Amino acid sequence: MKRILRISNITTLVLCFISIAGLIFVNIFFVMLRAAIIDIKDVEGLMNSYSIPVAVTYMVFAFSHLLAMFTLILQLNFFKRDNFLRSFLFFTGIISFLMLFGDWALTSDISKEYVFGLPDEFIILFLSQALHFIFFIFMFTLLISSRRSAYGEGGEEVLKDDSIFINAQYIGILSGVSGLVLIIIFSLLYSNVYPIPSWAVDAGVIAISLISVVPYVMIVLYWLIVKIRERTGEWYDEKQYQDISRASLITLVTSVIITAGIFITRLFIDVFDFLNEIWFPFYAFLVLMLFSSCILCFNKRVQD
Amino acid sequence: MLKGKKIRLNNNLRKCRFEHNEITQQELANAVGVTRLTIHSIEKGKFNPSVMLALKIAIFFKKPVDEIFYLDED
Repeated sequence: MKRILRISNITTLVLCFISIAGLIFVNIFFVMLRAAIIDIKDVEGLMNSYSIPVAVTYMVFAFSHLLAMFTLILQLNFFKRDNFLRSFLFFTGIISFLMLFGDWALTSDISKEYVFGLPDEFIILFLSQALHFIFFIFMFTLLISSRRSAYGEGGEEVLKDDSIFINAQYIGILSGVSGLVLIIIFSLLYSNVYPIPSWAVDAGVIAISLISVVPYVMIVLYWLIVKIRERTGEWYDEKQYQDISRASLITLVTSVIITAGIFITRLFIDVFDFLNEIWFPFYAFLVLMLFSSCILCFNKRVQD
Repeated sequence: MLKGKKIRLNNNLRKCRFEHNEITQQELANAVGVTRLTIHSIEKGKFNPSVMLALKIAIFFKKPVDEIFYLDED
């Protein structure tokens, strides 16, 4: 286990370094492409000469992401302690991986639409690039900081650990908050700034919700795979059961109060009209955020 | 006897661990099948264990339950 972790750490570290260099190259290409579209230069020639190196770089990115996820799971198993950076990287890593496919769709749109002027897709493309940068740089930092620990730790035997349980709560909070923020921004944008057809609204809400919730689903699935060998009564220990029960009660009460507040406010002023199309993901992400925060709060209160 | 009094469950878990070859919270947690954090919260008085867990701990230390866990006036 220790040997696999060490090999995986070093390989991911090297791939992260290559990917950061690759990201710089790809972004230079996107900036050149944007400038060529604005200046009405030979866009097609530029795309033809760079398409293969960019495609190869993206394959390296995809492989780096997959290996980084594998390393993160190995670290989760090895260190047996919760770590926010690890959860943050698991979350951003999955979203960044999904956005690689988004980049491909965006560049494909750009290659068709540039004849009509500078496509808006560039904004989303550069936001996605920023996400890739954040992921690779923080992954690099984690791997450097955990390099020494990978040699030293792991001496004490841990039969029942709560690292996956706690990391799942961190990811639940990140999924809940990002889902809430993104669907609210999207809803405000299409209802006030940039009107789009209703099918596009539905597609946008579904895409944003899925992207935000996938990391949480993945960590829960992983937790289930780990726990499936145990009897259901042993999935949690009694302190975790107590935390979950308290968190459930608080989530129930708080979510009812918040939704009732919104419902009553809507009877008098139309300030929450943007929730019309997104009421279900709004409620789901709100509950996820409250539930995970409460569990983490009860857990950390004891540790202090 | 206890009516009207504010009482809380207290314990000598930390003392017992040190008397028992200075075992760590993790070793005790492994022996009774809970997480280290559960043992830590019992020691801090922030979590009351179930009867089952209290008995498991008592059996592990080979002591009567009331020597480890006792009621205290708040």
